[in-house]
Amino acid sequence: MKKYFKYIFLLVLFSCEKEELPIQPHIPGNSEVNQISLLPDYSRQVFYHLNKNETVSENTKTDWDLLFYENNEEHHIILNSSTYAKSASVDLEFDSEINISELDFISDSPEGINSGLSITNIYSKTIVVDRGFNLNGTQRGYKKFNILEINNEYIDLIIANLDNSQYEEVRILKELGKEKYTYSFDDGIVSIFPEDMSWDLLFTQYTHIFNDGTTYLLTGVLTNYLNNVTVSIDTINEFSLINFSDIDNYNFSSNQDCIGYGWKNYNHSSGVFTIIENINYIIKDVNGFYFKMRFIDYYNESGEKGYPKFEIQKL
Amino acid sequence: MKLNFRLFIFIFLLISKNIFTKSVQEDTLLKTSVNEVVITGQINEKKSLNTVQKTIVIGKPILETNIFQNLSQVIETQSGFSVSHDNVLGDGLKIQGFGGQNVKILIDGSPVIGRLNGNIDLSQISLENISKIEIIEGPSSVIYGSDALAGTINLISNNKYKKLLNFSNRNFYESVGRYNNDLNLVINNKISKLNISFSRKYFDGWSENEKFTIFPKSNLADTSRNKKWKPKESYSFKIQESINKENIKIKLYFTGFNEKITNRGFPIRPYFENAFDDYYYTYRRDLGYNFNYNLNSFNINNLTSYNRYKRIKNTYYKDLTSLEQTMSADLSANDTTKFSQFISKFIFSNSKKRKYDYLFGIDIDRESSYGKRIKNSSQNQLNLSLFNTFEFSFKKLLIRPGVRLVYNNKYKAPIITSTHFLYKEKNLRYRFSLSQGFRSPSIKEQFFEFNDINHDIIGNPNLNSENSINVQCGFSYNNQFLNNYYFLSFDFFHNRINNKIDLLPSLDVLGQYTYYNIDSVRNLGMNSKFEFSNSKFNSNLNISYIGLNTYEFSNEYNYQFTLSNIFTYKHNTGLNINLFYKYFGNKKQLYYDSNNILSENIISDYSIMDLSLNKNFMNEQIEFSVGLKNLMNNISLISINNNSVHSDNSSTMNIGYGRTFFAGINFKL
Repeated sequence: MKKYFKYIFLLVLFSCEKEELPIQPHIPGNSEVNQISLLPDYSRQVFYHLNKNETVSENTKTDWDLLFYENNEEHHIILNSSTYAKSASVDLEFDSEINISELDFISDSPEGINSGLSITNIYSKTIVVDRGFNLNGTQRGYKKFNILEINNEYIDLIIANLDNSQYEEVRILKELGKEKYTYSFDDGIVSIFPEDMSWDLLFTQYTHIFNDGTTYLLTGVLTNYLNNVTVSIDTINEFSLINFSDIDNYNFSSNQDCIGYGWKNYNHSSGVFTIIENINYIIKDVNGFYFKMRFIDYYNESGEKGYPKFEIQKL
Repeated sequence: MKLNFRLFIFIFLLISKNIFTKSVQEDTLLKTSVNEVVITGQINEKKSLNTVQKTIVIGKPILETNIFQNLSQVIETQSGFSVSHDNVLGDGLKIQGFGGQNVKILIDGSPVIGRLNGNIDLSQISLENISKIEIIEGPSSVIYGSDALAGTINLISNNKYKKLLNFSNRNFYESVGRYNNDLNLVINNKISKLNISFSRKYFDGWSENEKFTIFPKSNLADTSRNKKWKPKESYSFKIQESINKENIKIKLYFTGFNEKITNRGFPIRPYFENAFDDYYYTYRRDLGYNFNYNLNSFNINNLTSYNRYKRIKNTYYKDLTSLEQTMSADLSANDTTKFSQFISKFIFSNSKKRKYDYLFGIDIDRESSYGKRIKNSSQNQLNLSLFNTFEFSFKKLLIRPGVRLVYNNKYKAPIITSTHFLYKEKNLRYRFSLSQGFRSPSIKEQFFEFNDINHDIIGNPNLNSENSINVQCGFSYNNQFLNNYYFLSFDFFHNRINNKIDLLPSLDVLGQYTYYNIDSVRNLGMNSKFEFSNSKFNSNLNISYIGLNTYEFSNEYNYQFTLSNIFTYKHNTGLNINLFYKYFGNKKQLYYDSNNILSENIISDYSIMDLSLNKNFMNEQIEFSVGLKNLMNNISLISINNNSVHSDNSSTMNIGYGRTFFAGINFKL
């Protein structure tokens, strides 16, 4: 035995790389159905979390006017397109007289900040905002503002009516890690957007720009594209047959309006909305999980419009 | 403090001259490193004690402790040396604060090639069949040409065999998951010696919170697959034939080395079902001969070698549920780098000791580099050098001037000179030297082209060489008292590297980076060594205090204190106890951060300690060793960044994988 001991010992001193063992693929989630309440007058904006399949936050769409997006050295001002708001930049001193009819009001691109915002130079001398429409369809009027300073701690701006009445100086204090600050010309600083990573989709009205440049207020779904939510549309495969293994075959878009309004049709003669069959959305959420989604209805149990209903399943 | 130090030196000199009067019979001093014979940088071989340029020898007492498995580990025993660990680029050397690109590494006089970011991976240089390591601190470019600015390391193979047939086998296991095995066969007769060796080294990777297992086992491809220290497997092979007939010595050799580093990527969130895995393959092939002809007192030596180096990086996208993988289509994720070097060095010298010794040499060196990131896919550089050096003896004084003339086909090479002085008086040695060194701009620095979405780097063909000037002085004292041998030395040095080559934003193209000769690096410091030895005990204490200045505008030197000691004790039973300890003091570094603000980085002090026991059995046919490594349980080191503008922050550096146990068994027939 002693004789062979050294050879046994040698075996202990020799080894080689071991192959890994495959992990079990994750189990897809169950198919679930949810219905969002935008109300028949589309007055609500609803923030929705895919993984929890629940509404995170909701507000009346006229609760805010401006969204300040602050990401490191990047500063943008986004309009509330759910009210059909538009803006025009004027190269005149802030207290100058402004002739509205001479201004060219522009909407934000519904695709997102990378496709063009109405306010291209946030430091323009005067920015006039057409606030769009109230819930009852009346005009909300005009406001003008001028950004005085943006730094790491605050945003300073001045706001007034076009005739310089209701002049006010506003300071919006920044918070560590917060990127979105919303402001209402009526109520001042308001909190509208939930935490960045807590929502994936926003059910809302928004201003769409057609190819010929005309704009129209539509009802649909926008994505949390600033936090990496992306979408692919599959009109070929059956909803039930789409699996996680198909993910690599899809091209994902980071456009905010990739889901948009196009999943429904409006029949002008009958005045009825119908869901277009076999439009499947493959969505990558803020955490990188994939979901498939399809709309199944636009009416509630009482037959009122403005209640998009959909089927969702985690892949 | 300074006054006390001067006083100490003065008192010591006084004592050494008047009290220790007994001279040493050098042939009785067997175990000490300073009595090892040195050939690196010498006209004729000499004991380290008597070389005109200070030379350090790491000999058998250290190499046979079995603690150290590669050059990286053993070089760290020296106080002025430090090793940085990169899990992909390998272990890079710093000598007296200077980076690895300024250090020449040789194996039996033939240069090791394959520098990644200027560094040769020291962990790839194995110590099997190495009898000693000779190190010259400071420039030795007169003899060894480019790169030998800060130091030269020469690994000397074992070539002393008594029997006709010699077989040895070494096996090493470390509980972190390291398994090393090598075989060595030597067929030896009076004229010829055939040496065949083979070795395999395997490391299964390590991360904190890893469960200990004697053998690696298959694990699930989950988040634990990504190791902090990457798994590594290497094979090396060497065949060498030496012929020694009358006054002719010929040595022919071929060596091969293959290494694979596996970097299993962290599974991609949120599903953790896919990962990017990187594989790094290194191939080295060296072919060469060494011819030596001795005629009376005249010696001709020719060392010719052709070395090839190839490194491949492949990245795969892996499905962890099926373990299928496909090669990444991203061009920057896959790369092949190839170098080759042909050198032929003729040395004419006297072989017998005379009043003056001479050495005259011709060096032909052609380097080539290939790869898609090299302009026109391949470039080469030719160096032709003439060098000579003389060693004059004037009673107790030895003077050695030297000069090297270099022609390079790609840039205007400098003329390199050096002068060394040695004054011997009984047990005392006084040394002074003034020498220059240089480093040719590498092919990468001249002809690199790397453009993709993340990189825009281009080489600069108009670079000049880096050159250095070094001043060293010191003295040593050795004596023997009641069969105890003592050696003490103090050395002071100043080294300045000019025209340092750095990668900087281009002055011509916005957003592009290129290489410029722009800065200088200086160091100032002292090394001290105290060696004590008798028939049972050897202690080798090294202390260094070295300051580094990396910016031209500042005169501030950032000093670091290091202390190292190796004890070996031989018990009557034949058991050897070896203890290695090293202390690294606080280290301050200045650097420009991403906002171009001068920042300060402080690396806290730490120490390392290893212990081994080894014993021979069966008439030295079996040697068994066990030990503990990293007794201080070092894993990572905190580096604090002090910045006057931004808030303080800190980062961690990986320095070890905690306390480990090792065991080895060696057979010799």
